[in-house]
Amino acid sequence: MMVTGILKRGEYFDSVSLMLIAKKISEIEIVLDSAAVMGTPENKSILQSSGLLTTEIQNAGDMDLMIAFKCNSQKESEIISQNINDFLKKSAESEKSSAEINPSSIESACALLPGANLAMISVAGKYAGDEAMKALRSNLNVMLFSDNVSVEKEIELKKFAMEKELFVMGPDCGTAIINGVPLAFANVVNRGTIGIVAASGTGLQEVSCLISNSGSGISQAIGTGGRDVKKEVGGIMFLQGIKALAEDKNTDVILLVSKPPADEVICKIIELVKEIDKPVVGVFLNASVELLNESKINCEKTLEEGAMLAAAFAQQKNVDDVLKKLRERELDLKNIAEKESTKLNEEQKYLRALFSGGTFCDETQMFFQKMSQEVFSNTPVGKVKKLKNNWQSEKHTIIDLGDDEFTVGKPHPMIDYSTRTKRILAEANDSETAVILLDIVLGYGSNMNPLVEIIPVLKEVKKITSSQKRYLPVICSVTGTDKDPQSRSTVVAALEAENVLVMKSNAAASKLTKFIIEEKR
Amino acid sequence: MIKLLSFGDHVEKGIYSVHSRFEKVINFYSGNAFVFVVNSAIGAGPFNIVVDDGNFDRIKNLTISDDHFLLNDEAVFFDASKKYNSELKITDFDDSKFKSNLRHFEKALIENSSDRSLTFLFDEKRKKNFKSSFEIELVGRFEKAVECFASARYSDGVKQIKGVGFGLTPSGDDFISGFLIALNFLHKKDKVDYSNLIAHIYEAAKGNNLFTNAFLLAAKNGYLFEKFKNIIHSILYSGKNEILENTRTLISFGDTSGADQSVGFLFGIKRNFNDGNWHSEKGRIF
Repeated sequence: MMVTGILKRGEYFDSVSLMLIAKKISEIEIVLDSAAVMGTPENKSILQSSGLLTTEIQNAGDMDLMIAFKCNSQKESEIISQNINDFLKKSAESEKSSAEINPSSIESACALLPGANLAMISVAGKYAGDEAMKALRSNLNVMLFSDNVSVEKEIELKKFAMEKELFVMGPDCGTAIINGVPLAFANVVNRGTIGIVAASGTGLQEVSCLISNSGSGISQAIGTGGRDVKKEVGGIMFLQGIKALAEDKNTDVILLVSKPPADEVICKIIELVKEIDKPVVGVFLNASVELLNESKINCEKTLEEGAMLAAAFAQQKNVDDVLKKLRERELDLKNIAEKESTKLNEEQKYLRALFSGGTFCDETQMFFQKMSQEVFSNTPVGKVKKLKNNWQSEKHTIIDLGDDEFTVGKPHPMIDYSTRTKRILAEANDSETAVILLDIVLGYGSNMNPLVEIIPVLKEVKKITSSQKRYLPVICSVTGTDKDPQSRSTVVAALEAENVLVMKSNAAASKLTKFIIEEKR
Repeated sequence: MIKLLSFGDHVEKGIYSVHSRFEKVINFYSGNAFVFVVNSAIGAGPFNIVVDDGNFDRIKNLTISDDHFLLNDEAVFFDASKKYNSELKITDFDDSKFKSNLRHFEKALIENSSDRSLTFLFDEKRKKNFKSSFEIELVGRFEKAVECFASARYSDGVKQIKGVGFGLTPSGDDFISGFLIALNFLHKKDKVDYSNLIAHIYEAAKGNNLFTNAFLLAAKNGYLFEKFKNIIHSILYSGKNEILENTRTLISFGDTSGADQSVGFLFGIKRNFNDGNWHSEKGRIF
């Protein structure tokens, strides 16, 4: 075994960067032990006690960066050192390059790129509204990724945008695909003839991937932010999006996705759709069907059904056949559920669903509305009850880990799996857990290497349950395509190798889970 | 054109050089004095000049005079209305609410802070996040330090942790500055004179790191950065939601710095409520 020290004089990093560097070093497989800290005498003394202080770093000053690691051979040491130098170089280069093209205002950004017609805004909520207004005044469409923008500001922006015939996607708009370019959290999907308007980020990702994976494609995918379809905002941009797609010559089918809109907004949508010649499919999760039943919109209950119906219209297939096939699949799911449930013991009764996508959390709750046993969530919908403590599951628990409480000081759970991996282990340790239900969302913006995060946890789950002589099914949907940087089929294969029951969609995963729970009862 | 949003009440005159620069902060120094040129995401502080210019890369020089400062030879005049007052003022407050708010603060810290923050001192389960031998040793040091602090062996406690940990201001120094803020706060709140103890701890903690020394000096003198002042105000006068929001804002600074300073602060406050009885049954400090 050998210890190597690297000294970087005068290279100070804030603790975020330092932790990132330390994490990357510790993730190198051949590193046995490591540290990356500033060269204070006290840190040196700890390195000394840890057997990590070397002659190279013992003269470090308070403002110098010390990196030390243990490995098995000189050859490994050279490889690791090269890796570390690459990390540091990349980190410095990315700072430099971002600085070079980092304009200080919307105006200077427009000067740098005069042909731009869309501004992506992601700054603290209290400043985001004003920045969006500046962008609109500069004749830019706006994708407002930021949240915490007041509803008054949102209305002001959207009304102003309407006057200028511009779009405001957001606030809190996490995903869109415009002219084939994925924005923020979005997947690499086929281009095609289905246009989407969505007031639900994960919903948009799920339907666009399912459509793409079925062989169809997307013309445009417009996000509006979830609040757009509420009473206060009145669906300003949702309606504007429908109009735009109705007029778009590259769009043949329109797919609408949303959590339940306000009744007033639904009525406006129904009125608008009356005038449109193209097929319109709607998925309004957990919405009352009374208003929609009489409309021209082809309403489906789940994201998957909506996506498949839109794809059937686009491919000019018999839509009834497509929906029939989906329903027939339920028999297969029931067969799997029957087998799975026989492996569970008496104590195992409850579902524990841990989602990174908020819309999936809502969609799954839809399947559990009629359960006689109690169902709890941090973001309850319908009859589902609010958890007393979001960090502690109760009976059937369905959690949106992307909700504010879980994300402060941390990246979104689609990027940072740490909160979820801890929770998975806690649920695995609970003898009453019957099923763990997960989602993995791929694409730009999401974690680029989800398997590194999730596979060790799945192995640990197996270790825990087998030591307690239990079997615990893990069911997972993977939202993504093979063109995504992470490649869906690679992720699916690795999960299946760990005996995870991977489903095509969240709807299928939720149904399978529901069937297992019902079999147990 | 650079727009001044606020300037701290302890920004000193001088010709400053760049000490270090980050995305939202440029640290300038002149002798032992520090001035931090920051953007609004970092916010106000005793030594901060908050400007709205997002392009910090262009800023190379800083000269501060009586009524203006020069950033890259662009003169910006101090507007008295933009002076940030770093002093904490305490008026009437409800003591029982204050105590329950401390609980909310502790909970918010534990639930929201980074894995490798010092919140393991409140929640033993979080120790498992410290895996490398360096981190395990670091945990041991902090455990010894809190034993020392709890039994009033302050110099020994400071020795265990000063300069220890991650970042430009190491975790141990953040903890100590939080503890000093707590003593200053109690000095005002309970009218108990902790000035000798504060001076004693400060002398034991300051070292060769000028940057850390600047933060320790601010804490010693009771100069508060805006985000910390906000959290103290919410503990004194508001409720759970505002505490949660301010805690989240505070701990978003650095990966662990805000949380580590908060742990030191909370430890300092609670230690004085529960002197001699700081280890609860579940392994929590308080």
